[in-house]
Amino acid sequence: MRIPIRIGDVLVYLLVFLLTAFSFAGLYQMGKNTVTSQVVVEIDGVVWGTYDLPLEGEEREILVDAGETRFNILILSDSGVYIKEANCPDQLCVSWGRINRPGQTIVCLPHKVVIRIIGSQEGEPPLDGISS
Amino acid sequence: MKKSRKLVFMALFTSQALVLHYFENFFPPLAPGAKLGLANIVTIITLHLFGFWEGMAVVVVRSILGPILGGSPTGILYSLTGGVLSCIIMAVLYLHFREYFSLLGISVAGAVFHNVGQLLTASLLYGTIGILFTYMPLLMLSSVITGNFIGLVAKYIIRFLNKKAAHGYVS
Repeated sequence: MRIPIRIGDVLVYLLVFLLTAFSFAGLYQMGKNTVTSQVVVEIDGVVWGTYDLPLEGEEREILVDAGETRFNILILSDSGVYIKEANCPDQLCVSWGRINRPGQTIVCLPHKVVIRIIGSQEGEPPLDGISS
Repeated sequence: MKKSRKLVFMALFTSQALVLHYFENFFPPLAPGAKLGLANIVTIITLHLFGFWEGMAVVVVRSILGPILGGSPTGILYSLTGGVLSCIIMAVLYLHFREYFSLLGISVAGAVFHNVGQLLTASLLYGTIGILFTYMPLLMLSSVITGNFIGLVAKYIIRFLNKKAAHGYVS
């Protein structure tokens, strides 16, 4: 059997190497100016609390007290932030679901509570749906 | 080849690609998003027997139906961009530059560009190029491994087909 490697194959492997090096360089560049994502809770436009997203496998529960026995129970987990329970009339914030990317917000209008994620994106996006 | 005969062949290839596409879900992935790319075998064979547009047709139909049948229609965008990009690259290399590339090299190039297409799509969808940088190295490694494997399989199928063609069975 003859040797199967040809001149073009060398080019293909060169491309693979260049792409890999390029992404490591890109990762390094991004790592230099990355701010970890933070969760900000605002009540009536005033910042009530700021939290770091927990590490993998951990979960934090935060009782957001909006006054006059109004509350929202906020869950911070490594896969995102969501409201587990609230005593607001419309329950919209509970059904809002999970947010995990900077710029996303959960709003509870009756309690005037806004939960938003700030900072550059560092958490891994959900890539489960990708299939070739 | 008669038109109806060609149609039957292409329908068969498409269904084979779909079955392989589904079947490879049962293999554990090497990295997130990394697949064996068994359906690429069918793409190469179609390119070999028919040509660019026919290969592209099989890829497009497979990329749309595969995720639907697999139960994740959101995957269409990824499989379409990856599949089309890799089909174009493989067609150019296989149909025009065959003397400079081995089939294994062409298959690796196809796998590489399949992943590049998918990662670019994901980066655009999520609005950050970081996804591309994060997943590229692992996917490149898996592309080299699976690309060589797929190329080897395709090589033996094409050798078999040529032998059959010499006896007048195919085409």
